[in-house]
Amino acid sequence: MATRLVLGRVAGDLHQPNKRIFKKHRKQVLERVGRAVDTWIDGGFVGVSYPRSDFKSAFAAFTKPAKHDARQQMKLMTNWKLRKKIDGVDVKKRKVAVDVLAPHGRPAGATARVDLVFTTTGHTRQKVTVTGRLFLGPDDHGSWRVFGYDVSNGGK
Amino acid sequence: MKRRILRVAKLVSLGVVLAVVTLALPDASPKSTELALVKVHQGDAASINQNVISILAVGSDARPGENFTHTRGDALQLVTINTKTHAASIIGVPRDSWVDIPGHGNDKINASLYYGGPELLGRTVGNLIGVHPRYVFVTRFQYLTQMVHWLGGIDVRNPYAFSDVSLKPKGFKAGRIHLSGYDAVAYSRIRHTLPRGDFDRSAHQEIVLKAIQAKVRANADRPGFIEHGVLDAMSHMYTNLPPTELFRLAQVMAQVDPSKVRSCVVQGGIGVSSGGASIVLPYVAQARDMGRQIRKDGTLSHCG
Repeated sequence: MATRLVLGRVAGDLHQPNKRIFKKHRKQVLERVGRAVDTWIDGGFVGVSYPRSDFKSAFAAFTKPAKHDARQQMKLMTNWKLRKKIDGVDVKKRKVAVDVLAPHGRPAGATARVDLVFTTTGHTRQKVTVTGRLFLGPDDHGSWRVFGYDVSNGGK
Repeated sequence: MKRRILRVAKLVSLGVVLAVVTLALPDASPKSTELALVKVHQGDAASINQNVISILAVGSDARPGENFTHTRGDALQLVTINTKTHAASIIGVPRDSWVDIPGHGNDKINASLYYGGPELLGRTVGNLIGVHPRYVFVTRFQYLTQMVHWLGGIDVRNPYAFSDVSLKPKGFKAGRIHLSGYDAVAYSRIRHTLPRGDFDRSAHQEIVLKAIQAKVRANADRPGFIEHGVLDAMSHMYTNLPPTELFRLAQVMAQVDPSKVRSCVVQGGIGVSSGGASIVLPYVAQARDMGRQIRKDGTLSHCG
């Protein structure tokens, strides 16, 4: 299932000409943020094969410090505990809303609000919900990277 | 709805001291500069834990028309955040602390803002504590009033009752109390009626900062909250930081866990300067001990 990617709240002094400027950037920022978030969703949850031993590819779009923290935090999440007990996942919901800071119409930061629901198949069958926020900013090369996050992951 | 959004936005902008509709604030009218956030050269950065960010938060009592980044700072609080653990510490420095101001000799520490702006104040406070802030944030008290009002006030646990004839004749009760915008500033500024004067006032400022941060944290998951807060702050702010860095800083501040915030005030003796002014002679060893603690991981285990 592809991510349902939507533009959330935009903070920017969007009177003209800034409104026009943001309109030019809107599609690009959504795509780039969406790409970074999809890397995490696919690599960490629903785009990898199971059973598996790690989720290394999940943090490819994270900054170095965030990657380090996230790898440690991953072990606290439900999905980590399930990784060797399941043989696949069935995605039920995959939505990302992107709030953007765009002073003068130019995107400078974003919060991706993630809502992911999937069920596992195999030895352990359960519904897993991943909700939270990823914080992103553009790097020097124009890619958007996750520099922080506040995510909860639970199963039942 | 729009009014509520504006209110929470003001809250986040305050949090950049201490850390919001598909279309944003349409108001493009020029706004007065009420805040300054300056990134300063941090000479000791290499020896500080890379997960630690220090921000010197300064309250200015500049009058309308005065350049608030070159007056005497009335409140001085060094806020240090561990970006990995989301813990934080606040070290209060009495404004009358008598210290060496680089290039200007001995004077009250808050005079360094007047002499050399945020950068010199950052250096001076850094020399006392032993950790130089990466950022210096200065705000007028009037803006603090406005922001706390917009956010609907803050809740604090007041350790003891106190009052002030001119600022708060009816006083503040002991225990859990709600502070309006005006109250938050009065609570932070009253000094003469407090048992330990400047030291207690500094502790009160820390109580207010912690309450503001807790409210920011409680609202941080509201869609667009941080984005609108940063935008609002920018419209009132002088800064040498790019918007992306402001955004990161705001998110870092909003992620701080209120249960992991500890505060201390640098203590000292009371003296009189050669000019006859009442001054605080800060306990430098204690200040340095606090500095050693926050240098390690940003937190305080004890006040010394």
